[in-house]
Amino acid sequence: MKDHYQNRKFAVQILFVLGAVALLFRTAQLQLFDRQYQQMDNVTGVQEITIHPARGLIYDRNGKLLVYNDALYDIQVTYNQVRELDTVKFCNLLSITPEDFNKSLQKDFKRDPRYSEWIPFVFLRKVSSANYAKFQENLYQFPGFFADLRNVRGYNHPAGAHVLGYISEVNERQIAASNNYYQGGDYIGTTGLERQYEEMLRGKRGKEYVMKDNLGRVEGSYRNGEKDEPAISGKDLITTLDIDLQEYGELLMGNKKGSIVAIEPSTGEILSMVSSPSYEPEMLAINRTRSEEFTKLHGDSLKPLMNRALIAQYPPGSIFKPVMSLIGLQEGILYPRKGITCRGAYYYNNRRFGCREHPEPIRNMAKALQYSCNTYYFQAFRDIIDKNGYENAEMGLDTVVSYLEQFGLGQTLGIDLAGELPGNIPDSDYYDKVYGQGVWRSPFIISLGIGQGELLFTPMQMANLAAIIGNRGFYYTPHFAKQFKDDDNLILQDFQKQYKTSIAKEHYEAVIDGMELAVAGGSGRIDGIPYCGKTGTAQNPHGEDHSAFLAFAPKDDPKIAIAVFVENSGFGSLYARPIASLLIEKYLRGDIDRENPRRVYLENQMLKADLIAKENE
Amino acid sequence: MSRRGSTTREIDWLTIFLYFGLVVTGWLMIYSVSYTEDQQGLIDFGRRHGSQLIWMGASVIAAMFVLIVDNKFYRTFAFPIYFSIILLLVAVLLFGQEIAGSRSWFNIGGFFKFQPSEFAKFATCLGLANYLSGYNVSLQNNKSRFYALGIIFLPLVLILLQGDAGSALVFTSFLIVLFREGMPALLYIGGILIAALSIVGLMFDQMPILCILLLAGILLLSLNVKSKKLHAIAAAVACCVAAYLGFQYGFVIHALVVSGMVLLAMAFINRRQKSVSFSNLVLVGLMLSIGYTFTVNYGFNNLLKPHQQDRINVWLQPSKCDPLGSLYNLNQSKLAIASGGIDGKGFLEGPMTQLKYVPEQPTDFIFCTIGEEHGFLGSFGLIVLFLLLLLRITEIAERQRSKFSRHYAYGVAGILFFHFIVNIGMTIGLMPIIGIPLPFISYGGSSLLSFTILLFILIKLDSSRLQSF
Repeated sequence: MKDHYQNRKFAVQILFVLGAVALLFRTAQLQLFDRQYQQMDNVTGVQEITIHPARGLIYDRNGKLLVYNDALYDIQVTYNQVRELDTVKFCNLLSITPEDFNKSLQKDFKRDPRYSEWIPFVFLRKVSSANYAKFQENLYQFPGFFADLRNVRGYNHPAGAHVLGYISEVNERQIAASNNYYQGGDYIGTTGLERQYEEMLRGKRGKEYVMKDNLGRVEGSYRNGEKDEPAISGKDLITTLDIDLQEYGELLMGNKKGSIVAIEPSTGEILSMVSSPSYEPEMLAINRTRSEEFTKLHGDSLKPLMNRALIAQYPPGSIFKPVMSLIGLQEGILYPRKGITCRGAYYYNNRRFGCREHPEPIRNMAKALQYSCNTYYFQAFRDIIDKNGYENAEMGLDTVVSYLEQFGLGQTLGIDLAGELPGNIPDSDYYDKVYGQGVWRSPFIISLGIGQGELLFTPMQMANLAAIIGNRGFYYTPHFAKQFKDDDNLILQDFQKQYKTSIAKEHYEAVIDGMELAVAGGSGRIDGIPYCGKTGTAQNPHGEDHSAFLAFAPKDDPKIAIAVFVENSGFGSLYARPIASLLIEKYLRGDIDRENPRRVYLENQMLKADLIAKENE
Repeated sequence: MSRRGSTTREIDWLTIFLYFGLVVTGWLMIYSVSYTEDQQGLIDFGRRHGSQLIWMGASVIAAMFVLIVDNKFYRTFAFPIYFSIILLLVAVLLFGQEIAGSRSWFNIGGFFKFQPSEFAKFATCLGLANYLSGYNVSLQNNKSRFYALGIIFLPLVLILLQGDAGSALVFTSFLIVLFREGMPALLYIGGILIAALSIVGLMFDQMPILCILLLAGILLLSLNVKSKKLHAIAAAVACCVAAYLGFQYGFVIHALVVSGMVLLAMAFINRRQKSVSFSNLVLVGLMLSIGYTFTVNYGFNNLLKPHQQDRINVWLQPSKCDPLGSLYNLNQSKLAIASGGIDGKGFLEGPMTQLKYVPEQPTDFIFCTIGEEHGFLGSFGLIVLFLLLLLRITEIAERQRSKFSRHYAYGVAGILFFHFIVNIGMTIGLMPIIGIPLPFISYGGSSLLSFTILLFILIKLDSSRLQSF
């Protein structure tokens, strides 16, 4: 039989060849030319695991551990590996409800680009070590779930919250600002020293490359770990804080509004910084109740989150008088033996500027300081302002302003904590605007002479002022960071730079003598420790005056300079001074003299006083 | 001319050599996939490469058995074998065990699993060859065509009912046998055109396809019109439509290819059948094409199951698929192959193979292992090996004096070609993912055994080609 279709053999053979060529063509395209696929193979088989470094610890000046790392676990899940499980048991172990369980597990994998059935995502955040221990024992029953360790902060002392600050999860803005150094879920120092020294404390993230099989099981390290980078722990920070002093200060300020700043004058190291009311640092540690606590603190009318030591600006009141004395002495207006006749007020042009009766005449400057004579300083201030003539008040005022700036007033000091406010010093430009140029004269601004008027200082500035007087004319920028452990370098050169005032040293001695007299008697006396201070009463148009006190101790070669503000507590001698005296004694002696009933009684009085309740009455 | 008893001398050793080349390559690949560092034994019957070794032994025995059996047996028992398998296919529908959504396995005694659809291939091949070599059978008449197609589609439909669309599609490869034996070429061209139109219809939005067809229509009509004015208008309209397409969809090349194909088809039909007005034909063809495009899309969206739609989408519109969902297998497969580069990562050295990254790797995606560990050189070698086998079979087919043997040989070539092109094609994204094995290479006893029997029946028939019937 004749085969008509023999030629079709070629058609079939051509089909076979074409098929093979098509396969070869495509294979060549994949294997030889398409770099995209060839480079992607590492992405799938090898997974990069981030190793979070331990954050640097924080110590106080005496080596006491303040902030340590606490383990917290993020439970992660890979959806496609989850099998049938005992949901009730699971939920009990992690203390969650079945609704939470479903909500956390059932993501919209189809549409939500953040989640994939193949890629692990966070199921539950911030599980405490205690909870995790129970869960871990049963982990084998829950395939697909695993835990990721995060270091969070734990605190040994319930004090110093405003200084230490807290960490929180990075937000989008911070990630963008860091050039994507941070990744979602990372923690970053948000306030306080945690924020200030974030770059040193956080350390360096490590990377580990592991090979995983198709079910996500780890098969071993990739290329024997040659591409791995170890995590480098953050550096431990030794602060200048004296945690005992800090705790004692917070205790004394309990139920009072106000703040305390204590500085070591010879170095500018801040020994303690209290802002009251405060909160325990533990409250804002990363855990599952944190956001509630934060909301509560944030909504509190007493503003416990606000750091009064840096942002509360008070009129200094009488504690400004030592500064005025110094300026007067330097300008030659005052001299130590200069006295005045005080008739209980200063009169000018039929106007009366109030002072009070003094137990003895104001025979010299020391007496003026001791009795805080307003008349003396009204006169001195006017003399300084009018030094270049009554018509030239601007020149006089600007001289005063330039002195004040040397004391670090009216400007931020540049301490290593964010949020400092500059306070306020009114200058001639300011009064030109208020009264008109060339219009105003010294009587217009006379209240500046006794620390009232537009003058505003922060407690930090006042403490620094005390340090300057104690140092007889210089200061170092107050700071919290002493050094990083195992790192001999001081933190910043800025803190080693000495700032000097242009006021001669002997003038300081004169003022210091007066300040010694000012605290020689009264409730703030410390037996055996001669110290110098000045009370003040900052006028408060909104209610009871603020009580203020500034001091340094001991008189010679002072170890501590301190400023205390107690809001709405009346005269400085009522609260601010006793509190300061207790802190000074505590710092210099380790504790107050328990044998001395006067001191113990004073301490009790201070602890008992509840000015916040009183204010609310 | 009787040469009874000289079987060994007449055996086509080249084919047997190619066969062993493929089987050994396959076993090495399976060894690589199931290899783990802690268990390195070559012969471990609990593991895949071990059990494959058993199946290889069984296949060699089966092959020898096939060679020993008298060559007349196959023709004589072609229909009985064919119908027994049809019975088995019916039986498996009724009593079979359902595995992964398809009811295509017998489970005998709990340990021996057997898939009749694998054996339906050579049975159908025998049946079809036997029918076509019968007296009074000519593919020039419709009755013969009907029966021939019936023999092919009976097992196809039964396997489709089992839910194993992949294995069912294999039976379309017998159309090659019919083509060789004189089925009208026009039917094949029409079929290819329809398939191409379906693919294009599913590949792209319908709007541009309408435009392309419109474009083709205008061009064709304008060729048929004498008026120069109309020519200019038609050309202008065509340019506008083409520009719109280019801007809107940016796949002018595809558009031109499709319109070119339509054009050629029309021209071909026109040349053959002068009596029908050319313009009318063009219009009818256009309308049919447009209608068909819509029908395909309708069928796709409404008749196919979601997982089937997924597979087609993965094939034709991968950019619209979820890379971690339906596209995952294909992506992993392509990654593995691409990562092999030119010379591969070395035997047992491919991380994606060793880490079991590609799903179904020892069975359907065995080509990934070759691609990853042996690179383009390995892929090239394997593809060429297969091509040589296929061409060799067509040569064997053409030297047969018996029509039965020739039909059978083309059947074997068709089946192997289908498996070869679809299996490798799917691992590299050329073909939809249809779960069919790569002959002689993939892991699996039924598959190896049935392909061995399929091929060795041919070798047996060929070895006795000089004997008189």
